Amino acid sequence: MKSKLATLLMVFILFIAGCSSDTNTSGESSSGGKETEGVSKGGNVSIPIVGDPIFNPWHPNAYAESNLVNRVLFQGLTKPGLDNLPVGNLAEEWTTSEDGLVWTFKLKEGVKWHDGEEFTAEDVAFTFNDLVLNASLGSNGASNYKALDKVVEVDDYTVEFHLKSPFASLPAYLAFNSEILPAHKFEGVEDPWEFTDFNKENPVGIGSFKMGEYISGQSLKLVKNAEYHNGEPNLDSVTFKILPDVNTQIAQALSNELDIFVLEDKSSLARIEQAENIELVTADITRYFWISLDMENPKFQDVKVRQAMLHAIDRETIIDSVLEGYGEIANAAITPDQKQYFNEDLKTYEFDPEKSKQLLKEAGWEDTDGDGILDKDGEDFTFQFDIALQGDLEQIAVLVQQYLKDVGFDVELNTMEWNAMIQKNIIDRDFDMILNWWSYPSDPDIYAQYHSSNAGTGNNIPGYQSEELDKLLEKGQSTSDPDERAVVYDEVQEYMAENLPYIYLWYPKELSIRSNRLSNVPDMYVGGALHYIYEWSVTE
Amino acid sequence: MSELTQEGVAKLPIQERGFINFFRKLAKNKIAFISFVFLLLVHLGVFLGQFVWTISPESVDPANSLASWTSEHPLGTDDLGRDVLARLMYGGQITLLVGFFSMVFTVLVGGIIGAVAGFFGGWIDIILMRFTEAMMSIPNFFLALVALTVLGKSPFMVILVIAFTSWMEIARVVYGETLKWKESEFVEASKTMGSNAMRTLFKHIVPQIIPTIIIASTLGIAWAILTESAISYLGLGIQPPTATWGNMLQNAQQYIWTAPILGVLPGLSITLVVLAYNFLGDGLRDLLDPKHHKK
Repeated sequence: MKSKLATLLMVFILFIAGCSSDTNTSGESSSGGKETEGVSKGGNVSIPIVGDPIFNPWHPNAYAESNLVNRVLFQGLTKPGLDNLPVGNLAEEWTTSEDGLVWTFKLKEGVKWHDGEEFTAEDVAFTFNDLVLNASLGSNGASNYKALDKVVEVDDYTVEFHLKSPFASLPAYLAFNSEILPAHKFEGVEDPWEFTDFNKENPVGIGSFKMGEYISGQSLKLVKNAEYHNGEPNLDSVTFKILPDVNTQIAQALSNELDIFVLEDKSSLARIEQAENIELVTADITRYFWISLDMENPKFQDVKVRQAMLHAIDRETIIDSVLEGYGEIANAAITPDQKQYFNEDLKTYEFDPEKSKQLLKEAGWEDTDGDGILDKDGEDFTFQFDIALQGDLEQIAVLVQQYLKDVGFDVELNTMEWNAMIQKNIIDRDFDMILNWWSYPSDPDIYAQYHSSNAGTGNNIPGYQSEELDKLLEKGQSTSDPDERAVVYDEVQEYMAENLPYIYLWYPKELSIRSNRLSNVPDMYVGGALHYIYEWSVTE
Repeated sequence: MSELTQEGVAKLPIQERGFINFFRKLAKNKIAFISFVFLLLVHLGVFLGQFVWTISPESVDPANSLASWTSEHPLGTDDLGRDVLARLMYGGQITLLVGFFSMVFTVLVGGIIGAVAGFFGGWIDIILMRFTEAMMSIPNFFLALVALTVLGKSPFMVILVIAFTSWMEIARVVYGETLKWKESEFVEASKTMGSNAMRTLFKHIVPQIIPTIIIASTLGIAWAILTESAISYLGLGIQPPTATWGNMLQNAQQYIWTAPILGVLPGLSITLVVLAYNFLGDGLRDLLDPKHHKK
């Protein structure tokens, strides 16, 4: 991989040398966030998305298909910096009160919405008070702002975030799918989710590109916003193509019709590696794969059963085969890219079917009737394993099923279409076992996925409830000193590794495809690099 | 068969003689005969092959995935290191069984509805045939998808769903035939001699329709295999890890760049078997259709 990165760097350098025809070499490298002199202007970049987008980041149905588009159309108060720590965007700077309960954000002046109206504190107050905090609306992402009480307009360019309890990760969360919406467009709108003129047709954004042409089911073209507050974009346009199928994406990348995207399925890696017009780029990403068991089911409540399951799964081999090595074993929820918080000395569960059987025996599960299936008090250990047909999930699920069968679990696989899975497993909470992933802002505050208050309806999918973990999470959320936080989250990780609220699988590495004609894309994961799309440029 | 002389055949009981004559005639239609032999071999291979080739089709070996053809794995391994030959055999069993039983149910349902409607006429005819037409106006593939999503995806359910979404064609054919034979003199005779309706229908009319049903069945198997493959290809059919030719094809699509053979093998199997059933069906029609008979 090192040599690949080196080659990529070479290509970059040659390319930059090649296109700075005016021998004015400024000495700046392309890795910085600043504009490099001599970059080519104009052109279009094409990016695939998996479905028709909703131009409203808070809409309850807006997920992966919408996030990338909204990141370009709209802007948040903050954005991820190149080191992944939040930096200012629509907010220039911020301060916290002594008790950590009031955050004051100073907004950029003179920023204009795409329709020419000026951006003010009213927009921020509207977005949070009227959409996010309006519990009856159930906005997507509201569970990230449970600590937020209200947003107060101090003057046109100053807002205060008033909290119920200290929330040290506020700037990190403001950079994560938390774009601001224009208050003036929503005036008199009763149900913001039914406001289709905005959400599906004519959004008024504030980002580096504005609405161009949208053909439902096919493509969305955004055109340059010359007035963009971080500087005029280099590209003329960005085209999002609606292409859910990974093979089609790859075929189009090979024929130069797509420029950049995350490779969600590594089956075709060997073919892509041969291509001369594209490069593969790896990046750290705050994401982990897990298995969630229904914690209301008494069978799964015994921690020994969960530990036995993890001992039965050969994660190393799955990473080597299905992930082609792009990942590492996970033992808790905090990802290795958060170097300050990641605890590498956690209890790990090596692949050991004998140990697994031993643990199951201790928990009372043993194959007593010789049918190859574990039983206890005459009941077999039988359950359903639901899996969405997306990327490489099914492949992973078949392997996991086989590993679990090998130690005596009777696992039945049930494949589902993605949206059907969301409805059954996440909304209705109807499952025995599922396998999926979480991604979150690069910050160890993972309250939303683990706190008891989010069991049943929030992001705590297994419904795991533990007072001990709750206390640690609350402490972590309200501590702002990084060193103190590190101590708390060390404990959180130790607790997770021991008790397995989710069964941790691996931290994937992001592998993305990037066309050789692209340059000035910052050296980070694709989702993060999109915040800097105004700096990107292409050569024809 | 060629060793059997004319006298030899003559010595056989009358039923077997008919059987052999039948194959003689079938052998004259080369394509149909080749198809028949091919299908026989495929069925033997698929159903008996597991006694020779004993590797489990579900045992995974991810460290040895996408292996090339070796003596250990004559057709290589798939993405999870499962033996492709074993999966083709076991997958074939499911696919062919689903095809066969779907056809049986299709013929039963379609045949009974068609025959009863045609024979009894009147309001029974109206209700049954309007129902048949209503069913025909629903795009049956989508009906099948919806039904499977709601009812679950076990092999038995797949068979039922295929059968209950494709019986209408046979019902119409049988209905037409029944109407035709109902007017014939021997049926009239049977009625005047006081035989009851059921006896007349099953003793005198149904035997006349059997050739039509046999032809429709062979084509029905082909259709059912295609439908099962299409449903499995969409991930709504029989669930992994159980192999069928359709879901093997679905898995293979990810590897179209790196291991195209994974898709070629089940794809070729489906194509050839469906083609053979169609040829065989055509051959049987030539053989059994009375009009062709006279030639």
